[in-house]
Amino acid sequence: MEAVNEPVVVLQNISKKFGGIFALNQVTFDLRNEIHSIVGHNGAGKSTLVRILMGAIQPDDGEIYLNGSPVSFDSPREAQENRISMVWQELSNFPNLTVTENLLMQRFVTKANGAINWKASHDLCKQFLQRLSLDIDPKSMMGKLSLAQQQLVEFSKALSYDPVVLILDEPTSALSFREQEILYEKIIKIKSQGVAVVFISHKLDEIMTLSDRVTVLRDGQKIFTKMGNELDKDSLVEAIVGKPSERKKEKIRNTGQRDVDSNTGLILEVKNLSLERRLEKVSFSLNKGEILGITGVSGSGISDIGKILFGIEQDYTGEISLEGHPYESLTPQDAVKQGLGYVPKDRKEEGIIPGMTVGDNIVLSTLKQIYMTGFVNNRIRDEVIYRIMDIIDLKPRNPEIAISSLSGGNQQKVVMARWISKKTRVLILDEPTRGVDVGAIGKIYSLIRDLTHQGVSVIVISSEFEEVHSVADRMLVFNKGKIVGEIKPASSVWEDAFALAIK
Amino acid sequence: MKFRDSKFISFFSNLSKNGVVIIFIVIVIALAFLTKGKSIKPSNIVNIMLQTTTIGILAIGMTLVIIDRGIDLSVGGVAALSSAVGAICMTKLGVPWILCVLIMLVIGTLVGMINGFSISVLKMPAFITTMAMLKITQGSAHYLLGGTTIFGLPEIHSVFGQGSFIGIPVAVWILIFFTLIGFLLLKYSRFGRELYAMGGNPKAAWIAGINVTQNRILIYAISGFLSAVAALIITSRIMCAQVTIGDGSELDAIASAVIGGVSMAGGEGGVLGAVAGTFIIVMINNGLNLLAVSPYIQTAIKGTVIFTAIASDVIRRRKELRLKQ
Repeated sequence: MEAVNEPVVVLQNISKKFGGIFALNQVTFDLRNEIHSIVGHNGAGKSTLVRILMGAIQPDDGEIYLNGSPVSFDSPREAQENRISMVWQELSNFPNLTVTENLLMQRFVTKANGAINWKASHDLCKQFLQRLSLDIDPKSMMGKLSLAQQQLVEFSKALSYDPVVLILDEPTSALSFREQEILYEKIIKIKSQGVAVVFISHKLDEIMTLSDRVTVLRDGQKIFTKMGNELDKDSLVEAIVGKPSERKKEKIRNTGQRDVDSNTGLILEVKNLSLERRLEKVSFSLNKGEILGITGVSGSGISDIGKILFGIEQDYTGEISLEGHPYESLTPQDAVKQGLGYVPKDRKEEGIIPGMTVGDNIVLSTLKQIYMTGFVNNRIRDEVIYRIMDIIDLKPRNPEIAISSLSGGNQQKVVMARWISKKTRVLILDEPTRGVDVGAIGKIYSLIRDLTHQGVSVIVISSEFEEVHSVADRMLVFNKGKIVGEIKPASSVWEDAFALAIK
Repeated sequence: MKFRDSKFISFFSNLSKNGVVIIFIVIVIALAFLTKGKSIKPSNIVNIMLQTTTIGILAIGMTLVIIDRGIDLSVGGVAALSSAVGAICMTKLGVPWILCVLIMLVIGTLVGMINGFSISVLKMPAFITTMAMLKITQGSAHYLLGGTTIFGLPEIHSVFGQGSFIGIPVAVWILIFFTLIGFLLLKYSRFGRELYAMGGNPKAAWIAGINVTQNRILIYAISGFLSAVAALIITSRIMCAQVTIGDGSELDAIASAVIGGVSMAGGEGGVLGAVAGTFIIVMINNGLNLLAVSPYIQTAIKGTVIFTAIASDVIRRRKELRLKQ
């Protein structure tokens, strides 16, 4: 695997600052007819680099060259016109329409009278699919295809615009292990057709097998660009997270850890938990009053743990016990009854009730307590609301304002507050700092720690390794749906966990 | 006293929010002028109130359903079916009157529960489910009545539609009673809070541990029950049962709720607004009748009022959204 050809795109000395911090610092990146992987942990600068190439954001400094001449893209559309395409991480198709309709939306083959020529459209779609030798019926519904097939249709769609550069952002993160193999084969095929491929992934195995070259970013700096065949896994991990000697021990900021005594007893025990294509025989336990971090990169199955425990996902196998009793939760309502609480990842869709006030949102899960007789007890209601607002330090301290007028961080605190006002035994938080402003992140974690002092046991599910490391008593590291290690933050640095997660 | 200021402000923003009070006042004054005072004579006001009762009662149930992002198109059919069964029991089967009343209420509630079960457990779409139920109940009523009108209801049955208590018709008392219950339920009960949460964000409400299924069955059951109450009043007023009872009343009930500030997008509004909305519709009807306006154009005017109410609801929402951004 050699890359002797001329570069198609060169990003020269690119810098970009967000709020005074370098997201990218003098990074140079060139792309030829090859599969070029960009790797790094969250916040290393991968997505910033790609977004600059796509014209979604503008660099503060540096130049972009396309086929040797300087260019600047003001929008993704402009990048696309210059034959740079991207397949986004999240699928954005129409499941209710056919493959042809998805692929040819806005550019159907039409007859002289303006009506859609379906036969010709299906044929054209078939041609596009054939470019990747896909055996998919253009007339089948998108939603009926497997995730991998849908992803491949997205690839075909991107290719139908005849790009010279194709950016793939974690294309395998939602796929099962077997489906990923199919995708690799097709990505190599794309390269063989003269397209330069940028590949973003957390999975070192696939990076090692696929890449002609690999560029490693860490904290906005380029560490190196190397030929894929010069790399071994250990050196790649080291480049991503830094040499063990460089992982300064003073980085350990987690001072609050307690070695939670297993004598206090287990509250939750999970045995051989499996979920088709997502989790494989996962076993762990949660001690009383402990903060357990469940970490992994996207697609590692960590989110599913929370969904299973809270009764949102029911098709699992395995055993769960809560304080020694067998536990099975069929609905969230059931889980709440048994003393569980859950803060979902998608705050807007699953967390807040936008039309209601802050106060109403706070008491949402405590209604039984406040409405003991069926009707409101305003004294208890105010008492609960004000006590909670003090605990979560909500400003402005006004329960009558609309929840949607609060910042993301404050909204998240309100969603968490629901479970404080209740006697929650186990609180599960899925990506609790997603979409939260930087200043509020620390407050959310100190709130989590305060909760444990009130006897709540907490599970924090997150792909932010550094954050979880700073708050958890114990960290479980997930990789490809399995637990690959347990880390004690008190005696380690977060990079150790991340290294396990991507290995 | 802690948030006196904010309560004060929210009172006024609520007022301008549904605007129903302002529309109400404007219409009363305008009609009084146009009809040269005929519209505000006590006899006419009692008349208006009587006409408000049945649709108003249906609008209360409809409000609960719409807050949960649903719709109940079956109310008219449910009213027809329960009056048909009630009338047959009273006249042909010789069932004691009070038992007949009970049977009517049970029928309404049962049909509502079937609606609720289909929508919440079987996840059938509310619009089609209740439309089918409208046809089922209407058709059954038609069959039971054999295409005729059943007269000869017992004298005592006239109490709901023709009796009065302290100078106010019993039917109006019934409306006041259920309005009050509806208001208290929505504003101060746990069920009410959960209902607004379900309408505001169904998924979040489910994840917060609210028993969405049970609540949803309950609201359709309430709507069915209230349809039967409306049937009691109508049959009592005309002292007979006929299949046309409740024809088109579902649209009037929906219109009342929307005019009264209940948002079709869910999670917003209340029964006071909805009943006021009914009042406005009835008043417009009544005023146009007094003015001897052609009944054909009356329908068009009513449609225009509903159209305007929905348009202003949508525009207000968009404005609020823009303010947030």
